[in-house]
Amino acid sequence: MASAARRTPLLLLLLVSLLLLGAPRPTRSQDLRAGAEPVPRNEVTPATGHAPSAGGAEAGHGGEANGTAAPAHGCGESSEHGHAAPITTLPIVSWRWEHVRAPYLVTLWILVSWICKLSHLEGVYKVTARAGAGHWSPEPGPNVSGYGGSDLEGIIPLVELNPHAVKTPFLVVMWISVAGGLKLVSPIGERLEKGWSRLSSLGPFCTVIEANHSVTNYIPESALLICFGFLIGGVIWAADKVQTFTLTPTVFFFYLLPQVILDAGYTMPNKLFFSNLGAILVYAIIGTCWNAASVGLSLWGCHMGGAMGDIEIGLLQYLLFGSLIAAVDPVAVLAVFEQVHVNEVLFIMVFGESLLNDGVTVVLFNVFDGFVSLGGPAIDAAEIVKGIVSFFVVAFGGSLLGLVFGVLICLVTRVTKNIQIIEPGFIFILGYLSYLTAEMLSLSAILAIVFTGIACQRYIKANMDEASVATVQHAMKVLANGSETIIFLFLGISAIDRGIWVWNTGFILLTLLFIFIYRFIGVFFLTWILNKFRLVPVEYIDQVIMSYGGLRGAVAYGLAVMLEKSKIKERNLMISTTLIVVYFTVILQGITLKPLVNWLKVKKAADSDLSLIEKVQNKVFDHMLVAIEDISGQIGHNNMRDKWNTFEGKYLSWLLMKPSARKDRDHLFNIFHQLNLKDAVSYVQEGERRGSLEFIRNKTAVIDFKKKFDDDMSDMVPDIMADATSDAVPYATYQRHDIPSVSLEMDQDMKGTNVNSHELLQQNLYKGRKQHRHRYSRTHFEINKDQGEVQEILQRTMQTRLESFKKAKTGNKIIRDSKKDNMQKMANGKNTDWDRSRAYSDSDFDIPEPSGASAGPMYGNSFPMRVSYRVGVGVENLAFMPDVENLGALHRAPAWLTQAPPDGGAGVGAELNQPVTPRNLRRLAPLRISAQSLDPFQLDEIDLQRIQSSQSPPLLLPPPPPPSSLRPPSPPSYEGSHL
Amino acid sequence: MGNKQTIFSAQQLDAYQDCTYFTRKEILRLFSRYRDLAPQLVPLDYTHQPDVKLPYELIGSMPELKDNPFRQRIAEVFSEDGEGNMTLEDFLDMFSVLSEMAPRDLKAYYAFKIYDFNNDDFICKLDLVKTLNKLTRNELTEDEVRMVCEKVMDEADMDNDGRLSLEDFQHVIVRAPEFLSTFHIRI
Repeated sequence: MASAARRTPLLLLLLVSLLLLGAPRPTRSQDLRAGAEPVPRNEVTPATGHAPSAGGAEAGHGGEANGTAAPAHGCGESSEHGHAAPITTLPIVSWRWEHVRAPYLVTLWILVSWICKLSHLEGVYKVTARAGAGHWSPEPGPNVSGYGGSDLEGIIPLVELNPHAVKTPFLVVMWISVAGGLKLVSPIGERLEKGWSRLSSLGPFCTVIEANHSVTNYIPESALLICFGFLIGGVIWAADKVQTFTLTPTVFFFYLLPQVILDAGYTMPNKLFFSNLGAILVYAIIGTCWNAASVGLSLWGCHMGGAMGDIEIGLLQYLLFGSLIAAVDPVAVLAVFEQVHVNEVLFIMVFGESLLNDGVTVVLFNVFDGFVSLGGPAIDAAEIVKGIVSFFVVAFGGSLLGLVFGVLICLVTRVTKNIQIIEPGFIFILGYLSYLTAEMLSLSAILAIVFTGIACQRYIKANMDEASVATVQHAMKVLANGSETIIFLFLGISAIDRGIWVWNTGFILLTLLFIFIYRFIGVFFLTWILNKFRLVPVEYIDQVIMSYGGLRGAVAYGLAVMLEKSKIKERNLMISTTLIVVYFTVILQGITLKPLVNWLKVKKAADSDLSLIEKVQNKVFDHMLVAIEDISGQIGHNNMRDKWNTFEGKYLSWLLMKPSARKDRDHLFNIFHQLNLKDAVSYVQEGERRGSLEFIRNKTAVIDFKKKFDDDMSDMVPDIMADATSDAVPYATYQRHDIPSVSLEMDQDMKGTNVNSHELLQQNLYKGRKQHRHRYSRTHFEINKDQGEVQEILQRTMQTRLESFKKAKTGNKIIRDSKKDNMQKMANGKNTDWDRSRAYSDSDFDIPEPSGASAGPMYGNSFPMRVSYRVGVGVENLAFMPDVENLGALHRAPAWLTQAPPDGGAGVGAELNQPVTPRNLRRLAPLRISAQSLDPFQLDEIDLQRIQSSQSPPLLLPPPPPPSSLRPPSPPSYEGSHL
Repeated sequence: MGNKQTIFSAQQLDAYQDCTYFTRKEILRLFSRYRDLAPQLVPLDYTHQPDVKLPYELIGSMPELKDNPFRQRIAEVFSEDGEGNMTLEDFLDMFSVLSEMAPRDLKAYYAFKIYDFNNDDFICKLDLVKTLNKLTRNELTEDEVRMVCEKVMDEADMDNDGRLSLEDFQHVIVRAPEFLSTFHIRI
């Protein structure tokens, strides 16, 4: 086992190094490429062979390798044309290792190292540890001497200014923090606020801008960010007189775009997406082609008509421009529509189109770029056919690649149980890798990463630990939202550059006009066709919004920047026109979209979640429809979906999911999960009333407790036993499934709908003592599972029970009453009775006595939270919040005690409803007020000692009467109710 | 294909058209589909109103339906005799309810009937339990089912009588925007 495990990473390493060594070889020299390239790429081979200007390509590669990313040869999205430059025929796919080398290597190495970690069965770990030990074991000694050595050198500069060493990362971090700070303007940024403000520490700055919160009600934040970009760009330009920062295609396509798209894919509503897939594809493919062709041709027509004056743009170049400006931009669409809340179908249409049209854009752009470099006469039918073929290769190849990587992610997360800490990282790394791989193969990278996200989402959610899922969600949002911010900011900044601005009124205005008009025409025409086949037709209003929401964004800009000056003389004009189009659509249309939506009364998304009955019903209807389709012998899409579901349930989830996770996927199970949470609230409350929370949170406690009872005291306390068992049974059944019933992560989903229950839960949950045992380990982040503590709690509970039992023996009716209380019978007469008994017992106690009161907090504090209460989302002692409210009552405590209301009025009823613990703790309150410095933990220690001393004899014995100062506050009434 | 006209008499076709939301053409198409289910049982000539029923055994034994939890219930609801044996009229009725033209209330009524397993015109807890068990293939425990049922009742029961009447049900349906699009079959 160990040897096999040792071998696995080695083999992997070997494999990867081979891959890495092998991969660059073809690009190292043009000649080698012919031999090294796989079949689909042999299109390139003759081309490079015949190309007279192969040296040009070589030079291009050199530039690339230096990482300067000259725009002429940018390594973006669709830079296939980089290779296409010297060729005489159109490549369908090409091999572009050089473009993606740096990020690819980094990602791959991270992945490899993690996989090694993944297979760290004990053996490997030991081996590496031993190997490491050789280097690191004498660490303290040499290190100290090392420091000494440096001391000996004498002059240590106290502060050394070394701006160059950190220049690049410093700039990057600076920009991110500036962008993050600007993001605070927007209400949506709130989610990120914490992360960003920690990162940026731009406190005062943030607060200034945050005053503008209301602004974003009218202006979408993307528009606002672009405007801020203008400002900052202006400032920089004023200082430097040159354009220092722009959004380069490399940065955009490799480092900013992937996470936005991955997030989009990962959070894609699958059912909605696939049930509208047909329409989306039509819009994405035909619509985009239509846009590109019509805009290009119309511009060309106007050019021929003389509307543009004297510019050198041919038909092909117009078409190239049309193809880059045609595509709706996912980032811009997402940013704007996110704030508008249109109905789901409309949203998925626009958004899905913007995602999927990438394949078309890439192909169109490449094809026309290739045609431009080929020149008009060289284009024959074969080239055009190749262009069409390459569309299918690029689009389907990209999607397929994405699916493969998605499956890979699922498989990996299936086995990452032992390395939960970096588990979430795999999603990002593999997702990014799919993007880069597609980029390398010149497939559609966006499609690849979208489908990676779509393919893996449901399985990894089931496979991974809940904490990891939450981490993925949050990290994904942080990354996506962060880079989206940066993208828009830099789009603004890029404008302040004198170099790129070329003004040609005719060209720019006509472009704007055509884009606007043809988008409308295209959408209306396609919808008209689609509506003939659609069950619920897309309404006219929706069509208007869909057309109007066709925003262009950074993708178009990135593509425009990648145009080559040598091939296209008017490159700058195209860039500036693209920028203007982007600004126009994002700012103007973005701002007006929301009023338009309101004005046209577009159906908005439903605010609330589906209620349970609706969910059940939808499920029932699904089944019904399938049944009816079956009865009629018809194969409709319901039928297909059912088939897919069966297949998926039978085979895919078997392959991709952890066995333990499969059950959780049941549709109703998820709902039940949520219900569970809600019910947890009531359990906790009830438990609180009984004063024994560990019944709920700790299975073992229940069992132990019962067992002990059985063994030790069954003869003594038949009454209590009966009570306890009847209590324990329902809890046990609720815990039959290992779904954490009290999970704070879950709350986040329910925050909107169930604020009440959420708050209740928060009030009732509190941090167990010493919950996170800090072991200073990066790999384990676990909650205290100390058995000793369980035992301690058990003992404590036992003690209180015993105590109460003892007291109860003297007054039997209390038990009876408390039982009634448990059954939540609030008959008024009984209440009075109860209240009286409590009053008596209370008056036995000296309330302000500090040490007596000290038992209070321990009592409450001692409940551990063992189930599922994870990563520091603790609510510290919120259980005691009711206490604070009751402080007022407390000050009148003596009066209250002496005047037990003779009749159980409404007030008393309410009191009875409260959990018992707080009441118990009320005695603590004066302590808290008077002696703030008294550490509850300290008190716990005291209590612990006391308990240990008192409990060292068998539980059977009643505890020796403690010294009066340490006497636990256990008036019979509470304790009775604990049962 | 001209002989298709002889399947029904003109009055029959008119009657069918009046009773359903279908056109003549669609009725003929549905008939051929109906006949395809059991060519040996269904005659090609319907002018004499033959008493033909597709027995439930035949419908229930279709391989596609084996997994479907609701096949029997649907056949029962739409068949006149309540046993799941479908005549052509039942068949047409079923599709008529599910057609685009059928009003929401009619759809809701039939959906309600499908739910109402014990035919007492109310969806009571027993019905819900049965539905849930069918949906989850008996994977939930009794307690869980009970909790889900309680929750559903809690959400939908407007008059607090512990069961859902047709009005309660319609109220829920109206709120669910997807209902029209989900409870629908294109012929």
